[in-house]
Amino acid sequence: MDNKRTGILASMGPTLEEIDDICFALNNGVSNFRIHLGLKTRDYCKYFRNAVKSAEITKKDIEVLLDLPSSRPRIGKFPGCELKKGDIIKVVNERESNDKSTIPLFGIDKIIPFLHINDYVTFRDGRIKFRIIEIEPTSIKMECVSAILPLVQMCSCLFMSESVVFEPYIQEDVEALYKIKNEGLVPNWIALSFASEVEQINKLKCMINQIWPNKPIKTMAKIENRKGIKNLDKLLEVCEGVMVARGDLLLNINPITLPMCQKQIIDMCKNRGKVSVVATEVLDSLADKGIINRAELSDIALAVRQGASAIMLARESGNSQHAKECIQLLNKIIEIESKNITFSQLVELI
Amino acid sequence: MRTKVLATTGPRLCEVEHFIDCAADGIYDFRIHLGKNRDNLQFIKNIIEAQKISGKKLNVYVDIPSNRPRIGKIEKTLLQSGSYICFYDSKEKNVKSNIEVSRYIPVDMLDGFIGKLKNNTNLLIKDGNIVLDIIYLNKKGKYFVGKCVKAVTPFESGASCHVRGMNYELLTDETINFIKLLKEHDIEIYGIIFSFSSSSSQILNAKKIISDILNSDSIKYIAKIESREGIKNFESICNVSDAIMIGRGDLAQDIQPYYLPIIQQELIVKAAKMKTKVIVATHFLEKYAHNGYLSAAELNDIWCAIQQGANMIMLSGESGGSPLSKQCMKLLVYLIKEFEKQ
Repeated sequence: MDNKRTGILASMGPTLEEIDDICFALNNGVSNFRIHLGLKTRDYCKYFRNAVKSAEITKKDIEVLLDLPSSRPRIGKFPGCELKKGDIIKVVNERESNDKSTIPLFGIDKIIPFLHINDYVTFRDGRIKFRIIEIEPTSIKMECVSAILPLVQMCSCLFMSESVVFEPYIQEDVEALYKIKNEGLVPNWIALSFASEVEQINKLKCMINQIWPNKPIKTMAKIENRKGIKNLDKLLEVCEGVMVARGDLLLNINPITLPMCQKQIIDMCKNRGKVSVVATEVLDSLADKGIINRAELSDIALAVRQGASAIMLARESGNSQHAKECIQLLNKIIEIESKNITFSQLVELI
Repeated sequence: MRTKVLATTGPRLCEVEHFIDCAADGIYDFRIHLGKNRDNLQFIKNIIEAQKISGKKLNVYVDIPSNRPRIGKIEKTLLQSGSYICFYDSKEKNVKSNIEVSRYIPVDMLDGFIGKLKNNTNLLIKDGNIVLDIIYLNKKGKYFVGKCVKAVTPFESGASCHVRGMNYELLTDETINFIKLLKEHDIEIYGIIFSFSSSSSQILNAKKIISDILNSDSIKYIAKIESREGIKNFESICNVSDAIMIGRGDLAQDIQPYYLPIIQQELIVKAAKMKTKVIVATHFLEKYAHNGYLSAAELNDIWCAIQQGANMIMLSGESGGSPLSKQCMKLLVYLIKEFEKQ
């Protein structure tokens, strides 16, 4: 992700895990792969091995980024439920629940001290929103404000409270990283979700150094809240890259400031010789519905012109029946936007 | 507000009160899409009525659809990929395809089009969301058969058909009749938008015919650029037009979609040099109109168009057909104001 041309960081998943698919990606401009460690049910070691094998087959250089989800709790085993405005649910500090109106959110006990009545809690990029109405030492009650998607297991939640600071990793993450290390694999990058304090990065670096002593593993701070933006200058002193994680960021800042934020983060990275990645909702319409949305095309072109080091695909590459189209289209836009084409050349090309 | 909003009328934006609300919110320009089978004359009368009540000058832009063929009367359906469809001239009765097909679909204005069709080319419908491979042509029988290769949105009446590289006549009898109707009712409109503008001579001819009927030379003529030919002849088109519109929906099916962003950028810069105004259209708040959530892509897209210097941003179904019509219009005005401040 240090090249002049904007690269592609493609998330691995069910539609990008086999060698054939990875080789296709490598031949279509992808040189960076993201493995999301939040979904522990996935065989991330296999993803990593296959990425390395595919790189050997195609004789291409790759970088692998492991994405740590932070201590942000995720919904445990749970039957799932459709909600409507006014529904009241209980959130408990458990790993499992059989009751549709009780959400198992293990780790909530550590966050509860930071919460207040009337704080908002959202799931699935803001598509499900709650308001806290009761706080107990190990559980909370929330009222549904809006919901256009069902609540299902594995969703991560977002607390719209400025004071919540997450731990950079949990025990399961450390175990996952050791498992990868024991296969002889070394990542190029480790990304930290909800990065907002320098201490988080330092703590993460310490942990990485224990697992992989003296390996040049770079860290990437995912900026997804106001604190992260405020502390960006300091964060850039300790990490090698920054990701504009627009999904959660959009929920945490005034949306009208997003375009400016994105531009400024990329500018700061350029000035300081750091890597910048633009992520989330890059080709959603194509990934989900097979529709090429014109706004999404502009958005990609803008990130390239702004000089982002890479653009990230999430489910567009990892979990979409249109994964190949998404990769090809993104690669084509980057290719064209990176060239210096005059209008008359363009007329001949189109 | 330097960048204006052009709001397309439709079932959600057609009553006098709707237009009065718009005027209060800072939207004064409205597009009437003649390609749609709506009570367009009444819509225009309502805009004029709203103008009287609100005291604000409201502008009507009539978008004329070219002689491109359109799907005739059918029920809204999702086509199956791999199925064979017979497209026939809607004026014909009892068309029977020589090839077995699963559906017959009537098409209006097929005459001129079918003559130029070739086998093994793609028929594109609804901004490229429906694609059929033309496998059999029967020009005498006035029908052709297509095999569906992609269908991600439903098929519906009024959807326009296109084949890459095809150009069209700007005016049709229907359009001319509508313009005459405007004259009969003594209705003044602000501008005419020529869909699929591909050359300056075409625009000059159409302008002459329209200004003769309306006996007016104050009408603004807007050339909608939505084809490769329109891009090629862009400079000469600018010379004979008061403004140009970048119709991103159709344009990104006539050319490869990955060229769209750079083309938008280049056309806006070029038009500015030639002192021609630019309207950018399609998909500005499409996702918001469907789910009510702002996306990073749409925010950046609007921001980018403003930065590039677009004079006007158009809403299509977002204002005309979406249940969130009002929110979309208010949101766009708000975003433009805020982005212009930055």
